[in-house]
Amino acid sequence: MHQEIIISGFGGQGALFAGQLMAYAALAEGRHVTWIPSYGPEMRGGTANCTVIISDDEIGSPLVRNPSAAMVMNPPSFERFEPLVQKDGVLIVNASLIATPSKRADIRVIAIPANEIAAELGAAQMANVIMVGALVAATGALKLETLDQILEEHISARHRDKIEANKKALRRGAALA
Amino acid sequence: MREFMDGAEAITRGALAAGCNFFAGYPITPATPILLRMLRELPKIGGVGIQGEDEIASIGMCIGAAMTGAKAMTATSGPGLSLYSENIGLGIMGEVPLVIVDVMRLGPATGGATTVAQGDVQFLRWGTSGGFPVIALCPTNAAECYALTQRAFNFAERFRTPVFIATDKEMISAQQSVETSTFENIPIADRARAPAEGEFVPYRVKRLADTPLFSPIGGAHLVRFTTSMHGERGILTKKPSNVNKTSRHLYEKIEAHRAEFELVAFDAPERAPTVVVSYGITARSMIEAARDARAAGKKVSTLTVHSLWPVPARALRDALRGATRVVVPELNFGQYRLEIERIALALDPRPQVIGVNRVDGELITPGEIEEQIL
Repeated sequence: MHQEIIISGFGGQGALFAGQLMAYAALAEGRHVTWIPSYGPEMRGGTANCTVIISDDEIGSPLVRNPSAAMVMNPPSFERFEPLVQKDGVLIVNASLIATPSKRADIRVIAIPANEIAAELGAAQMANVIMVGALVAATGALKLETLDQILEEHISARHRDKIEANKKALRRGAALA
Repeated sequence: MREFMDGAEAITRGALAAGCNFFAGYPITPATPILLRMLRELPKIGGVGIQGEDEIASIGMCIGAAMTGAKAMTATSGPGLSLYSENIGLGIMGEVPLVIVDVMRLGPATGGATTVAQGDVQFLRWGTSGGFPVIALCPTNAAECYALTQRAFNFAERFRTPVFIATDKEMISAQQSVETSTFENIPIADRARAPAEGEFVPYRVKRLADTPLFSPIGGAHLVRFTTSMHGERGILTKKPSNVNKTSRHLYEKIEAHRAEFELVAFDAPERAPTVVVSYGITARSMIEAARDARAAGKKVSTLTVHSLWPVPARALRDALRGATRVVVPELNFGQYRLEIERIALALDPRPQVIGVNRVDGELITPGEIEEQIL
């Protein structure tokens, strides 16, 4: 198993957290993993992305040019990463903000109205977790149970009441993949 | 044990393993994670961590603490290093043990604050007035961050001089799974101290290449540190013979021990016409490029340089001898390539030296290096 994943969105959409969630889960599953954040000098509203490599083998360069899977949460991220996904790769699109259809016929595109589903589940901030659910289901990179365990360990004290909703969000996403 | 950590954590853990008990710094992307960790960890062991009012004050505090016997470290990035410049000279002239982490980011001034570069390589070497030798180590992964930080402290103690750790934004902020049970614990070295009894002459050495005995401010002796040219008693002098002795001592105490600073990893399964030489984060792309090239039937050796300064000349000569092509990937316009060219010039046959360079805030890809492996 070797997955090179890019997760990208506006600062505040939880792109970096989504990557860390997957990275910690990969570690818990005994795999090699790297997580690299990339962000501008802006904070909320700027662009942010991270690269996660999950592999059964030791990882050399943590750099990814053409990801095997990408999760794009806003239009600029779609424009930047959609052309870069490897052939037969996976692209998870936040259809709530991205209206443009993908032109790629050689990749699997999964468009999810993540913001609406998140609102329906009770917290708009969970759009990232829904998309993670779809990404791991489409790639087979991680088990949902491992992500549950990591959510329990890493969600901060003031958001503990959101753990069950987050687990539900993962599964809603996975069902759409 | 498999842990998930970034370079900042590995450097911090290496510093604490080496006995670091003082840290002062001023926040700057991408070095801030080191400051935050040290502020959190040092109080737990009875050490002192301070966020100074600016960079100049922060390195000044480190120098003061080191003069009282502390093992001090600071961390910054390019613009902060510019502000450190004068006090780096103070550290050299005063013979003050100190570890300075430079987390390189792109460009002059505020440049690309959140983007990677390796543009400070020659700045580290020549970043303060006078042109005296410095020591700079450069890790390529978390295990090396841990080990080389310990070595940096040991060198600082043994030679009583500022020692740099040259690292970069990606090394510090990228997190990765690492096997911490393989982390290397280096025996701790402490500066040689003057006996409490008897006369203490602060800068007296038997041979020019020796490091003087240390006595802390506030200890058994009257101690004099000075930033001016001085005789062995630490009093300002313009007498040419004294000035000459001090200058040559500061030079010799590093240069005469060059063999100790030759830290490299040479990977040469067989003699190859192409040798790739790199360091830091770029060395990881180099290693992957070599793996791919070998899988494609090409012959290539790699040399990872862990001690940038002084230049590990002997190891480089040995690695380059017989090669026809030397490829030097780095995230600048070719700063370390200059040093490699110097080595190549003296070899017969003289290999061609080729740079692979990026200055756009992106990492060099393994593919870009592999293209240069014929």
